[in-house]
Amino acid sequence: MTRYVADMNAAWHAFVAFGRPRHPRLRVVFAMLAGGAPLHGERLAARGGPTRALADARTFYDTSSYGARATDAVVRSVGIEQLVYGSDRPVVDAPAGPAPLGAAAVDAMVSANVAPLLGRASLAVAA
Amino acid sequence: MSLAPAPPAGDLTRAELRALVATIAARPEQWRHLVNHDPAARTYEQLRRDEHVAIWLICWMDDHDTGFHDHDVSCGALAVAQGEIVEERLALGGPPLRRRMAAGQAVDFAASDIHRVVHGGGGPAITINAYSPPLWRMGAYETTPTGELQRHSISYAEELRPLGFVASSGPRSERRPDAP
Repeated sequence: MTRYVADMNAAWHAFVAFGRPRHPRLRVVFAMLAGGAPLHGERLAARGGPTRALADARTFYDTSSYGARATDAVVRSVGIEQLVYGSDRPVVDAPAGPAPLGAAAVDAMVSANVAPLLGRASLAVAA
Repeated sequence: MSLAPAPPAGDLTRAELRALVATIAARPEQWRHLVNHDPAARTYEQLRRDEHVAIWLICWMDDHDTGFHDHDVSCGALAVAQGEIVEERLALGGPPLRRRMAAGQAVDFAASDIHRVVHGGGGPAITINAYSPPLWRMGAYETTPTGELQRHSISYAEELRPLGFVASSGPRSERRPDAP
């Protein structure tokens, strides 16, 4: 297909290693779950990488490209508070979306988590 | 806000979680500004989350009830910081094991425990809850009209609430807080 997934993964690893230390208060949203990069948090920590990469209240992930299973895996890594809904329109029809995760999880992703991302509400975890 | 000296190196034990919530509950200056009691529902504030532990402040009022639930793969602990709550452990063939807890008391639970927490009456209550690893999926239990027990797998984002009812037969036994 394309290198998008690998590129997003590389971007996340670069950000947690170099971007976040330089911009500690920057709010960031990674598209397409950062290519699933948060699932590599344990590997990163085991190799001496940033230990707080998965505990970053200012880093968000949109769910474009992915369905409920990949989304739920990232929820396990970073918490529901860091996810926002994204679609692939108009490139492709939106996948089924996060509906199987339940109404409260959907509400968090399409509504509650947006204000903290945009700086209009306090972040999920006090820094 | 600093709620612990450093991120833990691994998942916490039940004893460590219990010590953690008891410590935080005894330091209201760290969380008093987040207290928000709502008669309609429990309110939650996440105090901290990392790879190994998530810590929540929960505010309770009359009739607030989680229903019976489990925490899937996470163990946990809660400490009462204000007011009273009642914890019940589900038992088959008998009434739930019940313990009333007041400010200053704490309890821990294994991932395999099935319990419910309800407000203990009186004034508003506050608990500090911690889970390790952080909550992900949970099980919410329902008793059907024919008495079958059902487990619903839900996201931890869902508000825990009673599903149906679990009949309690006979008088409930009330244990002293912190009894084994």
